[in-house]
Amino acid sequence: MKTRIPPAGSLLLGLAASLALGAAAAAAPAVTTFSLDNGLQGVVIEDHRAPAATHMVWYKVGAADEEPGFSGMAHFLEHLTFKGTETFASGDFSRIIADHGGVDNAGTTHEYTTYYQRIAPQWLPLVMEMEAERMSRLDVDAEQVDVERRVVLEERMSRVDSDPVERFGEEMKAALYKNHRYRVPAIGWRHEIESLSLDKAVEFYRRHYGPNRAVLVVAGDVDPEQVEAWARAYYGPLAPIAGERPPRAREPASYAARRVEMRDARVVLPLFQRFYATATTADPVDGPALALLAQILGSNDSADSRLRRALIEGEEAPAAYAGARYQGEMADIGTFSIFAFPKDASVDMNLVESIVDREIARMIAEGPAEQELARAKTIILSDALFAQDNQFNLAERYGAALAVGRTIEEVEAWPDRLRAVTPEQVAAAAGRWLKIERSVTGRLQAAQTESAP
Amino acid sequence: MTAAARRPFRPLPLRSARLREALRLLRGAGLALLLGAAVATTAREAAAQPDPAEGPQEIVTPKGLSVWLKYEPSLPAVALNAQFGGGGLSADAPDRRGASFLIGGLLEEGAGDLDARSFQNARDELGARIVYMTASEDLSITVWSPSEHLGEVMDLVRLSLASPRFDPEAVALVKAQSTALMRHQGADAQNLAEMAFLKRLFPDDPYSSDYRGGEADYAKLTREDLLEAMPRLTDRDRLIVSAVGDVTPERLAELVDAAFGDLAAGGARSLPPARTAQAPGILREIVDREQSMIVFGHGGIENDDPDYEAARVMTHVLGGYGANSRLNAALRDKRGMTYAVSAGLRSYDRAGVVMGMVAVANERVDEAIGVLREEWTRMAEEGPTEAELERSKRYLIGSFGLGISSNMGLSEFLVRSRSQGLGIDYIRTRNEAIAAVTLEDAKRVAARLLKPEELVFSVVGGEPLPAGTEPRPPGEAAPPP
Repeated sequence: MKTRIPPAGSLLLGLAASLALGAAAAAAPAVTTFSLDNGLQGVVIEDHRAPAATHMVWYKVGAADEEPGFSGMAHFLEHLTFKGTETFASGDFSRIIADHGGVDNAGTTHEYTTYYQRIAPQWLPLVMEMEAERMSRLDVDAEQVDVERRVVLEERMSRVDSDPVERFGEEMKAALYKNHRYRVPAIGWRHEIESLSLDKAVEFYRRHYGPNRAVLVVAGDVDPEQVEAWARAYYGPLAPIAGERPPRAREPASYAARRVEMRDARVVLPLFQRFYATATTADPVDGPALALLAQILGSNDSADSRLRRALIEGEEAPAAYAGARYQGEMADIGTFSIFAFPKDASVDMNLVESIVDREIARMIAEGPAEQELARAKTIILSDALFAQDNQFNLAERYGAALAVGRTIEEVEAWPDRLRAVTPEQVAAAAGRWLKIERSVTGRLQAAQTESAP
Repeated sequence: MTAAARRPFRPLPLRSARLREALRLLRGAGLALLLGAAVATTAREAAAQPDPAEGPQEIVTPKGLSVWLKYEPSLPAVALNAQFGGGGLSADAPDRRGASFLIGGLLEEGAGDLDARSFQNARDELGARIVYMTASEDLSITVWSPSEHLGEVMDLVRLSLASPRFDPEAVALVKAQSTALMRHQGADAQNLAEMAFLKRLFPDDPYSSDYRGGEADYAKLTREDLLEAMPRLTDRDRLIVSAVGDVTPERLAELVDAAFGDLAAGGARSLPPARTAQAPGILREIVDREQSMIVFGHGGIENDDPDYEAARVMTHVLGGYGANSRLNAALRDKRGMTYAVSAGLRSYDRAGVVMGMVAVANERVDEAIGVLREEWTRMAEEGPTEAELERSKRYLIGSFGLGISSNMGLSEFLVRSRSQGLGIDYIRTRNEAIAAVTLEDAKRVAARLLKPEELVFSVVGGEPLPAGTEPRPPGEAAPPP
């Protein structure tokens, strides 16, 4: 076991005197790590304010690891893991957690599948007993499978098919990635979900679930040594699975700007979007530079945002909302995205797009102002203190980072890396990654009533 | 796996209310990657088990304001919630609907000598969050600040309430955003179903109106209208404040007085009690959707009712959080009809309602309504079983501590308890009250509260497909009308 005391101020900035959060730096969370012989990686985050704990298991397998033709398998399996193990009957997991005053849930992304419980700390051994079952002794009640497939189809209907903006997002991603499985939605295409079988799900489970493919994160009012001892007792005996995660298909070089035009009768607000395929947070310079770039270009809640100034403010303002976002905590490829909701259907989308292009070109040519960059750093770094208020969010931050292949060292180095970024580096990252041939540009508009396609 | 309500479990970062709306417009747009097997928790039930020895304390400031504080020094930060009773439904002048809603968006858009950019930059440079939000029955201000900057942050709050600028550019911006938002809401199945439900339940009461207004309302509103509404929206007498964090009672009293102590008192209007109508039936609005949203329920009980905790335990069995409710078993686990169903008590200031929500495929709406009626009737007639009751109590008691394990979670719990007229000791008595609920209580309250014959079903969605037809494949556009 390794106890890590982050250097003072590592999670928060000391910046210039005018932008100070000095004393707050003392509050870095106590994070302890360990690993078991079978490969399970453990992280313990102490928070002793209240008798509450968070337990998370992150499997390093997600929708991007599915075979062609079986989209939605990782998520379908996640649902099925609640339908019985060798020791526990279908529905027991959630019922037992609730009976002990806890809440549980799970989630699946392209990168990982995660299961969590929030519960009083004295029940952690019980939680681990159940999660160890899920990790290695799944025994799904076959009678539940057809009903659960229908539930997943209803989920897809609720989340995606009933919302044109979601469908548009799926089309955008399918155009952005040519070869990587990021192009397929994590929930799966409807026609492929319909044909997912229990046999194939079990095969997927055997190939991917095991202690050596998992990260355990426990946060809350706990003693790290006790957590490690429990983990050893419950997860320690499980055999690792053979082999490494199969390699994923990689993206080839990109030569063409792509465009997606979608019309849908249900659209009430048109939407402009652009996605760029970029570096991930594994890049020690461009990762933090892109995070700052998103803040400067399109923070949604700062009047300082350049996209707000260019698109939302003033007499001619063509948009009601606009923003930018960097999703860099990914295993293979990051995404930098820009969105704008034009005020109404009469707004010229070409105008919106030309303003976005102009702002990006200006950023590449001139970079951000010193003060602008300093403020962006303060905002992002102050999020760290806020994140610390909530053990669940903190646990999620570590779990997600480790699940996509970042290390604890990288997580802890992030604030310093962010602080070190210069205006020139922001401009350089923008120039390197916000290239039109690395992007897809999309317009979502209402279908014309007379000439619906 | 589990299923439940409508609110995503993952809280959005504490940022401006308008940002939250913008993100909701975007939902995923291919960006939201996390697919929960289930979502949700209800605000009321995600609350807390504190150490009674260190309960919150009441502070009365020199200017006579009362604040509930839980001193919590382990993080160098303070979470503070200020809430003014009243809100959009009572603060808007007749024929000036939407004014309070716009104000909620405008309070961060400049105050005193600071224009919008200067105000927000000052806030951001302090590493703080200040979120203003007008709701139907309150105006809330949620503050998160490093403790060393709390004084400066509260001074921004003071300025925003004492000298809001409502600059023409800011007003135009917030009007444009609100217009876009309300246009979106006008096509949102859940919103439409809920509004139709409330109209049916509260005819002729402000509850049947959407205080947020819309484009036509905003067109009428002037800067003067907004200024004129401020005293009704920020009545000192209707203010409650809670805080949790690294601040002493003396310091907090001083800062609360500075921020709120000089506001005018007595501006807020009181509305007469509301009565729920008995108007059972199925309301149907056809919009182009492949799934229908059903909001269902009828009049309920208010939170000062002696049966309130018993009703909470009983409705948790019926439609509460997670995989274990009767409705979830019947609709999701047994029939695969939905991803999420929930039902429970909803407390308004002047009325109580029992209501729930579920989304199902269009062709299964009638079947779903049948199952909901059946479960409602079974619970009304038989109440929960002993085992269900015990399970429900164990969950409600045990999970109480989880939601208030963060400073922000606890401060929100305190201000919410207070706004519902509960005492400062509710944090201790709440679990005792739940433990005391007997099977007899639960059965009595089920018979008293649940009235299958009064159920209103508000359905918004597409038309049921003719028998034997397949649903449209995704990506294929709707056929022309």
